[in-house]
Amino acid sequence: MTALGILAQVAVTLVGGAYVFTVADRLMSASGTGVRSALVYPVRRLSFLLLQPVTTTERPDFSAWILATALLPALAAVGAVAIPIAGPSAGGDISAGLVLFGAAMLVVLVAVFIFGWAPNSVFPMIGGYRFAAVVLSIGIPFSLVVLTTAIPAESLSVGVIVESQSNLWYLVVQPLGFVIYLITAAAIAFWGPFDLPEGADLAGGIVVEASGVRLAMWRFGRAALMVTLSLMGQAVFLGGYLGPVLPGWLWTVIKTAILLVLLALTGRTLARMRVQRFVWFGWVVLLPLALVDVFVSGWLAL
Amino acid sequence: MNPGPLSYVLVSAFGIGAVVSGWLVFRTDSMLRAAYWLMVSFVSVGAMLVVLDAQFLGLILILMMSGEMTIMAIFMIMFMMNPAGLNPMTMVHQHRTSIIAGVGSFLVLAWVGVMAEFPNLPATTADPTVDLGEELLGRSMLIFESAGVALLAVMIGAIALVAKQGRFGDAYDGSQEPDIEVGTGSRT
Amino acid sequence: MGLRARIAHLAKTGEVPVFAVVGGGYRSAIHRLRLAEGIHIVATPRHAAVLLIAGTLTEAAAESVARVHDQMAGPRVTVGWGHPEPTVVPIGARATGDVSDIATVVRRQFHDVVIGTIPSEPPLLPDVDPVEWRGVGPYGHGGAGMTGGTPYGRPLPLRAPDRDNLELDQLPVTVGPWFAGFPPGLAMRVSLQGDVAQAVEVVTNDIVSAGPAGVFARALREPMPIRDLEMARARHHLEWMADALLIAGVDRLAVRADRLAEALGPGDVEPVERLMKAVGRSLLHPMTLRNVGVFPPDVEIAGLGPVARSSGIPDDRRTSEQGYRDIDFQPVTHRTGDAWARFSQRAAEASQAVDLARRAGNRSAFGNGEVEAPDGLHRLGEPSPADMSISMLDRVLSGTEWGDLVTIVQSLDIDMESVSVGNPAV
Repeated sequence: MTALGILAQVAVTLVGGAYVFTVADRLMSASGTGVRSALVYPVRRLSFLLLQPVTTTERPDFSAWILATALLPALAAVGAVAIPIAGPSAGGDISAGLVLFGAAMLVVLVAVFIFGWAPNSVFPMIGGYRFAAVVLSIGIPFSLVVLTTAIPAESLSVGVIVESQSNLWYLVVQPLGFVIYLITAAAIAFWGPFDLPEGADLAGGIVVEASGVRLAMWRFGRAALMVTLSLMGQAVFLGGYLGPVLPGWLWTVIKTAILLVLLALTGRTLARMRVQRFVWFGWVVLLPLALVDVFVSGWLAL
Repeated sequence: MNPGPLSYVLVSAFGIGAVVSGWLVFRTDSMLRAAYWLMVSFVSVGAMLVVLDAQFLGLILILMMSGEMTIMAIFMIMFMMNPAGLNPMTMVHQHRTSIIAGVGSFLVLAWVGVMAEFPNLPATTADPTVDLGEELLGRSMLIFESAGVALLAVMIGAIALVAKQGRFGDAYDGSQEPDIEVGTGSRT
Repeated sequence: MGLRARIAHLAKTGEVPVFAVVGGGYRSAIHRLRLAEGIHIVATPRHAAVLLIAGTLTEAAAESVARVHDQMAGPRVTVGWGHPEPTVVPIGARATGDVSDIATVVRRQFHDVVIGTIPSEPPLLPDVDPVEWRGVGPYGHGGAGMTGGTPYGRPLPLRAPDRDNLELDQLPVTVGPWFAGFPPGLAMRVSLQGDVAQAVEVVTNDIVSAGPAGVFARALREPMPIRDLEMARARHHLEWMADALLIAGVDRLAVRADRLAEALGPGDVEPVERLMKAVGRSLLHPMTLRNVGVFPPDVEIAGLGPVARSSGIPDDRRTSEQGYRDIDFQPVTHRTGDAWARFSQRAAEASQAVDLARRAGNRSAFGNGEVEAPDGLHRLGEPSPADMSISMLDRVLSGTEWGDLVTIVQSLDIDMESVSVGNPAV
C-alpha cells in the first residue's frame, strides 16, 4: 500500500472506531438512553463542544497544552499504522511493528502527563502524577505480553504474527497474556476501572480545566487510543483478519468492535481501583504473571 | 542495501533536531520542559536509528526514554523548591564547571568517533533485528544474560522491599504516616 | 443558515451539562434531578453550560458561586431552583416546583442560549491574576537565584518532611466549597505533597444555610411516626450510597441507588439487597474501599451513628425508645471500621429501615430532644454529628492519598447545614 493509502486507512479506522466506542460507552453508561439517541449522541456532544470556547487558566504552559492535546490522537495513529486491517499486505507491515506499537503506547504517558501538568491547576496535576504511577507500574507487563506473541511467530511484524495464527489463535496458547493485555490496555487508555487520572475523586482530573475543542480533541484521542489497543489485541490474540466466509477487513472490524464493547462494559461496571492498590497490583501481580506468560510461551515454542 | 538520498536528508534532519533540542534543554525555564526537550533529543536519535535500518534499536530507545524522562521530571519536580514545576526557574548553574565538562566530553567523544577503527560487519540477513538477536544471544550472550539476570534480581528485590511487608508495613496502608521523629529518621 | 447556526441546531436538544451549587434543603432534590431525562450533572464548571443554584445560601457564598460561574466556558446561563431573593449571583431563570419543573426550565434555557436567543452571561468577576505578576522575561525566570525570586508575587512553598522523612515542598491549595467530591459547602485548606494530603483545615462553615426542617429535625421536639422516620432514613442512606458509588466511578449503580431511593416503599428489603449484590459484583470492596479510613482508636466516633456502628460500637438511641422496642429493634453493626464497613453498614441500615417502616404501624418515637438521625445522634443545644466529624478531619485525613481523602470525607456523611456557626474547628 502507498503511504497515502495507509494514512487514509488509519484515519478511517480511528474515526469509525472512535464513533463505535463512544456509542457503545453511551449505551453502557448511567444515562440508559435508547439506541437511537445513543447513535446521535457523539454528534450532539461534538456540536456542543464546538460551540464552547477553549478556556484558559492562570499562566498555563500554552504550547505544552496544545502539543499534548495533539499528541494523543497522533500516538494512536502511529500505533495503528503497524496493524494490518484486511490482509497480510494491506496496511503498514513494518518489520518491527510490535515495537513501534509498544513505543507509541508508552509515549502516551508523556502526552497525559503534560496534559495534566500544563494547565497549572491542582487536580489535573495530580491526575498527571497518578498516570505516571499507573504506566510505570504496568509498562513492563504490557510490553512483555505484547512481545510474547512474537515468540511463536518468530517475528516482530504484526502481519506475520496474524498469519502464524491460521491454525490456532494465540488467545488459546496465551490466555494469561490476553487477560493481562486487556487490563494493561485499559490502564494505558486511562479507562475504567483504572481511570485514575480522570477519576471522580479529582472531579475529572486531567480534563478539569479543558473545554471546547480541546476537550473534544482529547476525548477523540482517548477513543482512538482504545481503538488502536483493541486493534492490536485482536491482531495478536484473536487471529486478526483471519476467519471463514467473510472478507478479512470485516473480521478485523467485528473482532475490534467486540473488544471495544467489552472494554466499555467493564469500564462502566467496575469500581475504580485505588492508586496504591493499583501500583501494588501492577508490580506484585501483573509483572510476575507476565513473566510466567513469557516463560510458558518460550517453553512451548522450543 | 544502499541508502538513498532521502535517508541522508532524514538522518541529517534528525541529527540537527537532536542537537537543537539538546540545546533547548538549557534554554527553557521549567524542569518539565527541560526533561521533555531531552526526550525529544533522544527520540530524534531513535528516529535516526530507524532511518539507518536499525528499527528495533531505534524504537526501543524511544520506548525506554518516554518512561525514563517522565521519572526524571517527577524526581526533579519533587526534590526542587518547586511544586509541580509551576514556578519558572533557570536551568543553568555552575557555569564554569559545566563548560569545562561539556567541552571536555565533546572532545573525548569526537576523538573516539574519529580515531576508533570500527569493525566492518555488513548485515548477514535482510532483517537487522535478526542480526541483533544473534549478536546478543551469540557472542555476547554471557554479558547480556548476566546483566539481564542481575536486573531481574534487582526488580524482584525492589518489589520484595516495597510490597506487603515493606519498610512501612502492609502495602495496603500506603500513605499512612509512620511514627517518625522529624529530622532524625528514627522511629519514636 | 450559517455554520454556527447549523452546529447549534445539532447541539440544542442534546444532553444539558449542569453544574449544581447545592444549598440548604436541596441535597436530596439534586439526586432526583440526576434521574431527569436529558440532564447531566457534571463535576467541573468548565464542562457545564448551566449553573444551577438550588436551595438557600448565605451572603458568604456569593464570591465562590461567582467564581464557579465565571469558570463555565460558555455559552452559559444561571438557573435558580427554590433559591430565595436576593440571590447571591444574578439568575437568568428560576423554578420553584419539583424536578420536572426545573428540568424543563434547564432544558429551555440551554436550548435558548445555544441557539442564541438569549445571550451568554457575562463574567461576574474581573479577569485578573489573583496576585500581581512580578517575573522577569516571558516566563518569569531571571532575577536572583535559580528560581528568579517570587514571580507570582507569592513566596515559594515551604518545605516539610514527608512520610519517608524527605524534605519536599508542600503545595497549599483550597478545595471547595463546591468541589463535587465533598459535601456541598465544605471547603478545606490542604497541604499537598504530590497527591498526599499532609495537613487539612476546614476553612468555612457559613455558606449553606439550613433548609426547612426535615422529619429528623422535627423529631427533636415532637414525636414523629416511626414509619416516616425510617423511610427518610432509608432514602438518606441510599442517596449517600449513590454519592459513594459516583465517587468510585460506578455511575450505573449510583443511578440505580437514586432510582431506588425515589421509588422506595415500606418493606422493600429485597431491592436494597439486590443493589448490594450488584455493588459486590462491581468489586467496590477489594478495589476501592477495603482498609481505607480505619481510624486510630483515640479518635472519638461515639455519636456518629453508622460510622460508630460500623466499628462495632452498638450505639443507637433508638434502642431506648418504646416505639422501637415494640417492634424488636436491634442495632446492626460491622466490625472492621473501614470505608467498606461504613458502606455495608448503611446498606444494612437502609434495608432494616424499610423493614421497620413496614412493621411500625402507627407507632411514634423521639420528641425528647434526642434523635438518632441517619448521620448520628442529634441533641438539642449540643454539637451535631457534622460538628464532631469536622473536628476530627485533620486527625483522620493527614497522610492520606487524595482519593482516599475524598472517600473518607464522603464516608463520614457530613451535612454542612447542621454545622454550628461557632464550631471551634473552623
